[in-house]
Formats: sequence, C-alpha cells, structure tokens
Amino acid sequence: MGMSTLTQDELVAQVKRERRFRNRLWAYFKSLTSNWTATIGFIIIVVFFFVAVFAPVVAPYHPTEDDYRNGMPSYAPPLTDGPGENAFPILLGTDWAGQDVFSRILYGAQSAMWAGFISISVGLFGGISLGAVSGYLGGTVDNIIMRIVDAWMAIPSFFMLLIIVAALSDQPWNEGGKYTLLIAMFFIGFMGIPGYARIIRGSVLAVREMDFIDAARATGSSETRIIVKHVVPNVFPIILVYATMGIGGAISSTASLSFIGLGARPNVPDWGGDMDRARSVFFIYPWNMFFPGLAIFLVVLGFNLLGDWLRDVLDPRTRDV
Amino acid sequence: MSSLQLKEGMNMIESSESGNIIEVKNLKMYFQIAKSLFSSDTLTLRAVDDISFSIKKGATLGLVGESGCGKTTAARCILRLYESTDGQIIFEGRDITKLKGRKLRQLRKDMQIIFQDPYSSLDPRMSVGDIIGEPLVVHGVANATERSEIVFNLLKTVGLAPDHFYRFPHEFSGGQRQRIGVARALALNPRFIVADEPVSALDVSIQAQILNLLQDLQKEFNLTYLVVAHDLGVVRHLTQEVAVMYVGKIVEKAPTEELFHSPSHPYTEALISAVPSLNLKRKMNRLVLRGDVPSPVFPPPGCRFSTRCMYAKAICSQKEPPLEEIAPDHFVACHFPLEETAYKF
Repeated sequence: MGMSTLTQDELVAQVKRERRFRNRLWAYFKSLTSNWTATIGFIIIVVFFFVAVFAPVVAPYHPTEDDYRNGMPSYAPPLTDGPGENAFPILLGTDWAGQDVFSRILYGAQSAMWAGFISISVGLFGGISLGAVSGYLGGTVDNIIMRIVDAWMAIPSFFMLLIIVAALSDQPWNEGGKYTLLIAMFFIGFMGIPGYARIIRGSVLAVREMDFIDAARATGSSETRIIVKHVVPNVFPIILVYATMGIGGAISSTASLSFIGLGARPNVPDWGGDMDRARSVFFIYPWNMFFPGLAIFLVVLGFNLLGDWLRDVLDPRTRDV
Repeated sequence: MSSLQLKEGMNMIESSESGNIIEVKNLKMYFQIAKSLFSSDTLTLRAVDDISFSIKKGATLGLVGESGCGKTTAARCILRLYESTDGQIIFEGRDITKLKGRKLRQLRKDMQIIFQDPYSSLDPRMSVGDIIGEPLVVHGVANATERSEIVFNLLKTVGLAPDHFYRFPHEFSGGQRQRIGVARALALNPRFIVADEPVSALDVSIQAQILNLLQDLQKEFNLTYLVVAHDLGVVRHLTQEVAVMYVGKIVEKAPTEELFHSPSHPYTEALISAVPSLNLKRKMNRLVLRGDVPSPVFPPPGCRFSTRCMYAKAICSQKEPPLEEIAPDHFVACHFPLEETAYKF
C-alpha cells in the first residue's frame, strides 16, 4: 500500500481537480491520439461526416450532370486534366455518363450517412426498448419478448426486403422508386432490432444480478437512482460500442442493397448504386467500381476502429484516461 | 393509543430489558416457483422456514450451514432486501418487517451489509471515493467537501491509503476490495452489520486480516454483527453465539464455545467432524453424511435431517422435533440430542 505524502487538504483539492479532469472531453481526446488505430478511425469518421455535410461545397463537379454539360468524356481514367482552363483535375476518373467519380463519392457520403443514422436509430430505439423492458421486468414479459426476438431473427431479411421492395415499387406514392432507399434503410434498422434487444437484455440482466445493486438498495437508494447511477452507466457503454460498430454494418448493408438494384434510384449518387452501374465494365474501367468500394471499406473500417477504442476507453478496467 | 402502537411499545420495553438489538421471530421466506410452462400451479420453496433468534447489542451471532440452507436468504430478509413471507423482525424494539418508504430509508442507515464477493459488490464504473461516499449522497448527509473528508477517514479506518480515493475497484486486490466494501458499510455509522461470508472469497492469508479488521471495528464502533458463514474456523474466531441451519430451519443454537465442545445435534456433530485439524493427537474419523441435502421444495416429513442422520429412529421421520433448551442458552431441535461426542473442535 503506497503511503501518500500529501496532507488531507491537499488530497481533497487533488480529488476535485481529478474529477474536473475526468469530465473533460480532452481527456478522452488525449487517449484517442495515443492510440494510432483509433486515430485513423477517428480521422476517417470526421472526414466522412464533413464530406457528407459539405458535399455541395467541396465537390469539384456536379455529380449528376452528364458529359454534354460538363464537357467531360465518358470513362476518363483517374488524374485526367479537367475540361477547360484551370479546371479541377478529374481525380478518380469519370463514369459512363462522364460524371466525375470523385464528386459522386463525396455526394454518396450523404446517402451513406443517412443509411447509418436511420438504421442505427431504428435498431437502437427498438432494441433498447425491448431489451431493457425484457431484462428489467423479467419473468413472463421477458419470456414473451425473447421468443418474439427469436422468431424475428429467423426471418431471412434479404428475401423479405426483396418482397417488400417489389411490393412497394408499384405504389403510386413511390413513383420511380424515390422512397425505396429510405424503406431499405428503415428495414435494415428494423431487422437489427432483435440483435440489439438481446445484447441489451443480457447486459441489463447481468448488471441487475450484481451485488452492488443490492448494496445500493441496502443503503436506501431508490429504484430510479439505481437505474440512473448503476444500471445505465454499466449498460450505456455497451450500447455505444455496438451502435458505433453497427453504423458501419448498416452502411455496408445498404450499399449491398443498392448494389443489387434495391436501393438508390439510378443516377442518384450512392456508393452501392455506383458500383452496380460500374459492374459490367469492371475489367475495362476498374476505377469506376474500385473507388466507391474503397469508400465503403474505409468508412466501415473507420467505425470499427473507433468502436474498438470506445470499448476500451469506456471500460474503466481498460481505460488509461 | 392504537393496539399497533401498544404492541410496538411493548416490544421496545421487552428489547431494552433483554438488551437485544435485533430479534427475529418465526421468520419465513417462501419462494413460489412455476411447476411447468403449461400450468399455473406453483411449488413452494421454503428457503427459510420459521426461524427465530436474537442478537445482543455489541455481540456477534454466527449463522452456519451448507450452501442452500437459507442462511443468506435469512440475512437478506433481516436487511429488508427480500420481503419475508411471514414472521417479525424487530430492530431496537421496533417492528421493521413492514416498514416502507421514508421510514425504511431511515432504517437503512442503521443496518448495513458486507458482501461475499468483493468483485461484484463494487460498481466497476465508480471510483472508490464515490462508492464509499454513495450512502452519504443517498441520505444527503454531507456536502461534497465534508463527504470527501468522511471518506478519507473511512479509508484510513479500514486500512487503505487516502490516495486510493479516486482509483477504480479493478485496481485493487480481493482483500483491498473487501476493505472498500467494509468502508462503504461503515459510511452511515450503522449499529448492525450483516457480514455475508465476509472472507470466503479471499486468500487464506488475507482472511485473517479482514477478520481482525472486523473485530477491531466492532470494538471501536460498538457494532453488532450477524456473520453468515460456512467456515467454522471463521465463525469460532468471530462469534459469541452460533445458530446452525439445515434446510431452512435452525437445528441448534448455542454459545460458540459450548457448541464446538459439546454439539448436541447430529448435524452439528458432522459439521464439526469435517473441520480439518492440525492436532495429531486428535484421532477421529470424519463423519461422512450419506445422501444429498433434501430439497427445500420437498422437505422430508418429521425431522429434516432424519434422511441422513445415523442415529435416526422411527419417530424422527414422523414428528418434527421442536427447538428446545437443553442447557442454559443451548437450544437443539432433536428427539435424541447427543449427550457426548468424540467430535470437538
């Protein structure tokens, strides 16, 4: 046991400083920058969000205007000179319609961001509600919810989505498939609910059984205080980690749907959709398919690296903040 | 004066005369368990089945028995962590069995618990200072600065260093964590502490430290302990009186030395024979009980120990023996209490 050389008053002051330090965001930031994989993930995610929000500002070309208006050739290779004097170079080539692949990737980030955001919101909202109720109430309620979840997980989601999209594509309100991508995002979130519900139920159950919950009860803590001070702080980081990693998964699921023609409308910038249209010419003009694929890969990687770091840093047993 | 107040008043007089801090009267804790998925019938698990005992102020009672005998359940009923099915718990002359709301919260200050598992009993996401200070926050006892002050003193009291304040539980060894648990239990200045297997999860070398700490604290703060344990060595070291439980019932209760020198219940005798000894002169064989502990869902008729008792006679499986005083303060529930035994501890 290390003996302290500080006096009690100094220690009180130190504790206060320590607490304030802990509350500071930059303590986490410091831990982030000391971990190179997390730093890479963080940078990817920041760039991704920046690009998604400011695509119209940063994109050098309009994503959907064709070669006649842009004056750009179809299937130009990467690093071609742009049309006209002082034009921005065509960094990643052009596609079949002479559209700038780089600009389309920047705009495609918007669709990817919405995919991640919508799917994860739907999945978490449903998963947290069901899982928390199931885990906290237990008994018959728990049994019923968990059997529904089991059945839910048995649904083959891809085929289900095929049917839904086919059924909805004829609807007058969904003319030209303008809501198809949105439906796909909601559906991916919806199919994620049982997974989150299970994880959250499991964590709530595990925390509820711990002696420190009884200890809190024995000191006279109210149920509300127990939930707020003990259950939520112990379950929340798990949710945050799964949500972060889930965003990457949702983005790649939505992209695969677009890739098989079930998501984005033709010509709307979307990584999966762009890869779909470049598929037939992959061996002749590989950049058309390669770069949107690379974008998906990087973003999913970024969320996973960040998720790994979050898991470590949010668990006091492994954090060094 | 209503009859309830009258009863409470009488209880108070009774307990102040006897000097008991806590009295447990006919405590029962039954759990209903579903028979099967398709039937609404339930089975009754009699975890604690009609036990009574009392503890004098400043004394220590040991509750011993093997796993599943209901000793922990009984302790948690007394602390009002479980709602007992029947019976009375009287704390300092007040019936606390049905206390609710604010009164129950006030009671929490006076009785605390030390847990068996020093790992799951501390919230891994709170610093040690927050853990020990939490009871103070819950009861609004002090402001932040005073609270830090109190927690520092508690750390010193249980033998931890002040700079452990802002560390997290995972940075400590099992013994240190148990000290943190003890400090938390002491935070509200309780008068009665339940120690639920306080050392069974610790290394033997650490056990003695924690036991001595508990004894020192008892003297310093005039605490009353209820020690739940299965280790008879621990019980002998800490307690003045012992109650032996078997399948939800107290089978023998006696002052500690008397219980260990002249056990009267065959079950107690078997427990004592199982304690390993370093005394080479003490030549005795272990009494090995045959069969399994009966299920508390289907307790055997008559004496619950009759199915495994080597002295059992016909009456034992027909009539349940009452807990009777066979010597001063020595109670035993047996039709044929042992007069002499080779098994001593």
